[in-house]
Amino acid sequence: MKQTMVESILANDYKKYFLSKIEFERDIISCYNSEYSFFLMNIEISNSFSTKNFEKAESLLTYKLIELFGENNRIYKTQQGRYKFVLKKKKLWMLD
Amino acid sequence: MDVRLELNNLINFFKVPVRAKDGYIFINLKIGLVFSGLKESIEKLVLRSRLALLYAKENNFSVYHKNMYKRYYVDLKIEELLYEAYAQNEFEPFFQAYVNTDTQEFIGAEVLMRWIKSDEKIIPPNMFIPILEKNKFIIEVELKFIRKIFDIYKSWQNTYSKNIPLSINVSAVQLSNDKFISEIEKIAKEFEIEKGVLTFEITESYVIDNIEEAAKTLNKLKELGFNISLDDFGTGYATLTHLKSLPIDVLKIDMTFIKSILTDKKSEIIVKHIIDMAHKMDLKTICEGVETEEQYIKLKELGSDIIQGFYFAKPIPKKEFEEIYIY
Repeated sequence: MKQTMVESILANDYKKYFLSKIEFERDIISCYNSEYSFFLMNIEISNSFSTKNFEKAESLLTYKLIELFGENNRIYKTQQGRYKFVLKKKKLWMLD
Repeated sequence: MDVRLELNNLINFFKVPVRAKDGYIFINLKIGLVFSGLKESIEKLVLRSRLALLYAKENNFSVYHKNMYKRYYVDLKIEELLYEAYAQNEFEPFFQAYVNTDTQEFIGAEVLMRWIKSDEKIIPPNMFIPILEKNKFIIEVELKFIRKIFDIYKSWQNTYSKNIPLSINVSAVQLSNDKFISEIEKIAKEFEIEKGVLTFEITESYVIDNIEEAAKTLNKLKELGFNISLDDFGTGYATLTHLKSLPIDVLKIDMTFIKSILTDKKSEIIVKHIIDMAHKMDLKTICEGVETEEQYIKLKELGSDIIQGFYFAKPIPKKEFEEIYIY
C-alpha cells in the first residue's frame, strides 16, 4: 500500500461504520427475520501497541474490511482492537 | 466470494508492515468465523465466534467447529491443574546442551520448562504453555521458574565452582509485564548473579510487534548484566534496523531452515546470509534443531558459531545433566 494512500486512510473518521451493541443484535435478528444467512466474524488485533498506533491499526483494518466486504456490512467494536462483524450473504433458500 | 479466502488474504495483507509517515505499522490479526445457517441465539453465536477466535492457530484464522466446545472444557480442566502444578512446584527444568561448532565442546545449555505431574507423567509444553499464555498465568509460572534456574546456577557455582552459561526462554506476555524487570533485578540480587553468564531468549515476533517496548525492556536486561538471544530468527520480519537498535548478542536461527538445509538450496543461502550478517554485526549465531552429522558438517562449513540439537544432546532432567556435564 502506498504511503500517500495510507495517510489518506489514516486521516478519515471511521466512526460511522461502527454499530452499537443494540444495533448489532438488531442486525442479526433482521438477518434471521429476512431469512438471510450470514457469517459472524470475530476479529482481534493482537499486538500490544501504544494507543496512538492502535488507532492507526484500527483505521487501516476498518478501511480494509469496508473495501473487502462493502459499506453495508457494518462493524460492532466491543473494545479496542476487538471487532465483531456480520457479513450478510444470500437468502437461505438461494443457497446451493 | 469465498469468505475464508478473503479473510486469509486480509490477514496476509497485514503481515507486511504498512509504512506510514512516522514509521511502520505492524498489525497482527486473529479471526474466528462462524456461519449461521440456523436461528441460533445471539449469545450462542457470539460464543462460537469467540471459540473460533480462541483456537485460531493456522494463519491466525479458524472456522467454528463443534469440537471446539470439547477442547474448551479440556483446556479449562488443564487450567485448573496448572494452578495446582504451580503450587506443588511441578514445573521442572530440562537442560539441552549446546556446543562450540568447531571444537564440539560443551559451552552451555538452554533451559526448557517441563510439567512433571505427581505420577511422573511428563506433559509436553505445547499442551500447557499456550493455556498459561492465554490466561497470563505464565507471568507467575515463569518468574518462579527463573528463580529456580538462578538457584540451580548458583548451587553449581558454589558446590562445583562451575559457571555454566544458561539461556532461559521468556514469553512475550512476560516481557510486556510492567514488573518483569524489577522482579528479575530482585532475584538476580538475591542470588548474586554475576554479569554476562545468563541469557534470556526472546522471540523475533515479540520484537517486531513491540519494537519500542522491546528496546526499553531489553536495554534494561542488558544493564542488569543478561545476554539477549533472539529466538526463531528468520521466520518473521526482523530487519537490520531492528537488529541495530536492539542490544542483541545472539541470533538463534530457526530450526525450519536447519531441517531443510541439505535439501533446499534456498534454506542454505538464507542461513549463510544470516550467519555472515550476524558476524559483521558482532553477533553470535546458534543453529538449533541439528539432528544429523551431515547437517552439522554443513553448518560448520557455513560458519555457525554454536550448535544445538538432538545430534549432540537432547533436553534432559537436572540430575542427568549434572552427571554428564557438572560432576
